[in-house]
Amino acid sequence: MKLRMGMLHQVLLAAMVVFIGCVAYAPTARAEVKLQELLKKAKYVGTDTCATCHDKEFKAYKLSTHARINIKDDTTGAEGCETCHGPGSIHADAGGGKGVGIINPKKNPDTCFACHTDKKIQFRLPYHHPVLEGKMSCTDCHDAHGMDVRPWTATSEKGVNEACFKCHTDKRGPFTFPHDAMKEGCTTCHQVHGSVNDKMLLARDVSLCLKCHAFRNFADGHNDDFARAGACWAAGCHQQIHGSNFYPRYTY
Amino acid sequence: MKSFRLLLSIILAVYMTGMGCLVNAQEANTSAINVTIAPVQYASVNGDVGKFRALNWMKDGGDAGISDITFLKQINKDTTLEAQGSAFLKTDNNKGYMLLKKGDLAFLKIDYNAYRKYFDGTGGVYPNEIISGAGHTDYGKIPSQYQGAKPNSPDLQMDVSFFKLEAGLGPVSDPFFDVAYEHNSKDGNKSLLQWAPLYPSIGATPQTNSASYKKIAPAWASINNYTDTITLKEKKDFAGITFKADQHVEVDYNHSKTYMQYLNFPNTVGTTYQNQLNTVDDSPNAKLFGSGVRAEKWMLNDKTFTALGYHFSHINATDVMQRMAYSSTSLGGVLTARPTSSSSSGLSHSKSS
Repeated sequence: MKLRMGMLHQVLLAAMVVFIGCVAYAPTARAEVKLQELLKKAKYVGTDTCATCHDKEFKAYKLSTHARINIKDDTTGAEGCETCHGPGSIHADAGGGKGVGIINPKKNPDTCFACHTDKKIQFRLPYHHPVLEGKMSCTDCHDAHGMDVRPWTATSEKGVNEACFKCHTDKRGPFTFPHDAMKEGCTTCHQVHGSVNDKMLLARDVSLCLKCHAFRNFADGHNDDFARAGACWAAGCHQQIHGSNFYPRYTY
Repeated sequence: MKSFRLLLSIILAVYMTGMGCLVNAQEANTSAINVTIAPVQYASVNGDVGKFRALNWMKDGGDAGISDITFLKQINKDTTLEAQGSAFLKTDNNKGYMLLKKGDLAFLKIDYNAYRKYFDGTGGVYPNEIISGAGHTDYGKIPSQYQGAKPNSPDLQMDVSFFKLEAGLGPVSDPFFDVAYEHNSKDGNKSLLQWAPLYPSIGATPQTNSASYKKIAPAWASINNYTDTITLKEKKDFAGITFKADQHVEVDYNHSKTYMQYLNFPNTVGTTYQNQLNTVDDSPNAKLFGSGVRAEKWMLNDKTFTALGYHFSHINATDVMQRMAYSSTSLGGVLTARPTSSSSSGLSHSKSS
């Protein structure tokens, strides 16, 4: 009897959750479906039409890495801007407007993931930036229209880590004793989209450091025991690993 | 910091309420409006709650709010008001965006985003390294005897927020004059990977016998970090060349207090424990001033592009650090403080490219 009542409760709870879920997500689905239905009627108008209003993006786009893959799809006629933003006739006829009859990849990263499938997989790893959770978007770090699509390429006058330092200001320094790995970029140690390791590290133990410091029996007495004992940045050792203002070995 | 966040939340709530009123008011008009309400949102976790929160960026339990509201209003012939937002006040997960523009003449933009990041309480503990027979049931979490030394709630969570106010002359996508104020903040407690050592027996000294311990005891930090930035941008076309100039001033304030507990776990219950809690109080602050000029030209029917730019930035940074060690001779005993070192540093750094 007890078991039956328990099952009944579980079924009722499940039904309630499903019902509430439907109520909660119906408007979202409706808005998405509405846009998708709307876009089915839209036609591709070509990049030149987009350029009449979005001159800045158009010119910047021509310098970007994305422009190099500007291959026209003969079946649909999609090319350039409309490859990512969808057919633009409804948007153009309406006189423009934010999100009016047009896909906005800033709100939905699926557009980016259509090509960058590896990044979607990385965002599914346990430790990741919250893009799939909607708290960040790809455009927070990447300028899809700009020449510097990858923030750490040498095409910007700004530093290689500028995209990271926008939020992680405490890691910028300058430090009296900077860690040289920072000059190579944060990606030397961090897998920035997602990782199986906490803090999105490439490795969780000394093997991360040994990528560069790959020699045994350090001159100052390091030996295999240290490697077995844990990570180099732990336990009062090289804790200030991004850089130190006080000690050249980053211990504090 | 908390009062600033509260103020922004109140502004957002008033703004959302206003939007709600506008929803009713505008039903008869042609303004575009979309509202998505999440009346109940519930996550039930059977397992490690801390892990769930950390990996999914959300709290378990229930919440309710507005998951999306979009509003577009044509105020008069040239002036439009666009707004977007979402609000889940219980989990402090709020977004707001507003754009008021008068054709291609001028615009005012407000952007706000706040969310909470969760950390599991293990502080980097290897899950498989549970010491049996040590009499610790809360191993892998912050031990209760040290929670008094922790200034905030025992939950490891950090509030992250971003606020931007921008005004410009010209089209929104390409203004010829633009001024913006940005405020970024992080406030809360986070776990660290700077794990403290766990001594397998009393008397083992990590500095002399490194192989005899594992660096797996929890570590965490209390963080208060905010950045204020003012940016000015200007653009002018002259003789077929586009000249651009920008200046920005940034003030970074950081304060972190790191807690690392050193624990002895003897093999038999009842043996005297020797505990140590090390703290590092660090306040690196920086003021940054940057300027950039750039000249761009498109040639040959927009087929060729050439640009020349110069960027100069100057950072003035200071850092004050105090390291303390607290120790006792028994588990839960009185921790006696002794400063290990106190240091300060000032550094000025310029970079041009």
